[in-house]
Amino acid sequence: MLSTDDKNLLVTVSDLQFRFGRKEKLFDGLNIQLETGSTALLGPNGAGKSTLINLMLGLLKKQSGEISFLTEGTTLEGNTLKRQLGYLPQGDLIFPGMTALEQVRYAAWSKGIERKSATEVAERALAEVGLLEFANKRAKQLSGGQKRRLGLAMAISNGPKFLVLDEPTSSLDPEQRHIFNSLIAKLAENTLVPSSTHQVEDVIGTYDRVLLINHGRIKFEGSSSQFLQGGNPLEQYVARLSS
Amino acid sequence: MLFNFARYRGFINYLIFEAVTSVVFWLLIPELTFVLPRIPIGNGVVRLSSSVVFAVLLIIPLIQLSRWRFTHLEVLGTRIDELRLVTLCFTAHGFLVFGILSFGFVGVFQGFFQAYVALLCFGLLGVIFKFGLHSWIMPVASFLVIMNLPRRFLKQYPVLDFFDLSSKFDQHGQVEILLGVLVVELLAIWKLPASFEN
Repeated sequence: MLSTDDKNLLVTVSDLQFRFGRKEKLFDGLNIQLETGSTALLGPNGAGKSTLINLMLGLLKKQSGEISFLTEGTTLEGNTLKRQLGYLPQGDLIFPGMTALEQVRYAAWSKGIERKSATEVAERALAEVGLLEFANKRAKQLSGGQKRRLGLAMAISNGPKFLVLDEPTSSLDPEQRHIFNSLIAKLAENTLVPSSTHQVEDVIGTYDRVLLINHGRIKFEGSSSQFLQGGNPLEQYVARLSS
Repeated sequence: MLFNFARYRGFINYLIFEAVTSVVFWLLIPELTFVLPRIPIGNGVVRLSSSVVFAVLLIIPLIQLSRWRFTHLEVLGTRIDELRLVTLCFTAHGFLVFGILSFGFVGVFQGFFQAYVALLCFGLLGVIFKFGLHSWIMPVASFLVIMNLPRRFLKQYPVLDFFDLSSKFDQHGQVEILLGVLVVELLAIWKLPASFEN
């Protein structure tokens, strides 16, 4: 499903400035660089994780700065970029009354897949997240975990090189979180996956890198093994947040 | 697929417009009343001005429906411009079809305004049942529809006949034809999303 052999993916954020209305600046010259693989955008509620994601996707308008998506050194823009983007938002699915297959088919089509091949593409995406047997079930009949996986199937239906996830596991029980995290780890092998989360335990075994954010500022940036060095992950998290 | 979903969007846009104009009309012309429902309270029967009932009840689905907009999926998709254009076309289509139907129902519902509010109710039901939207709207929309059902249908169900529906319904022989047109239109809208090319 996902594109292969794309090890040279890059997202760069340079000198990003953003504030909501007249409030204090949330991002004041933020610079980050994300590479192929999974990156946890870790931080407490209100840290700016989802805002950063929305800015990256263009759903929020930045005041200044540059956000670029690059593959093999080439910057992607417009529909070329959209075809390579997958996004799993925090919210619900679009039409609870439609079947899983219909929803994924629509997602694929809206990303530019020809309608003739949309069904096949949708079935592949559903198989990838382990939901093919529920293809003809309405979204509202699925469990919370299955709904999130359906959202993921919609996000990967176009075989994106950049897969952006916003709090993908926040409402899931431990078993479903484990399933979902395994999927993220698998998908991230050939994709650039930034994923916001406030759950420290998700970092373990799922993400390659960690970007700890608080109040719009980077508190830690490094590999997940570096992040987990030095003892209890939760204690490390709290200590770094207040550093 | 584009056609199907744009048609939905257009239809929903139209319903939102209907709801807005209904409330605005009511605010501008408060003396305008619909078929008056009678609600049994205590020993007697209290007649409520249904303009008030409608205005209040319409605001609820209006708030819900106004949340409808292009989703992230569509905004981040490559077909958003096509979707916007075709949605606009089908919004216009909604105006035409529902406008014509409303004119046709003028006699049945005792006025154009009442007619299109009634059609709005049917439309709401169609959208709600198809998409499984906000189950709590269902009883509201059902209530609105029942209030507007012609008396001849209610005759078979006396328990529902506590609304003061005009016997004038019976004087209009064209009601069956118009209802038929409405049903066909709603069925078309209902079935379209399921008709993806396979």
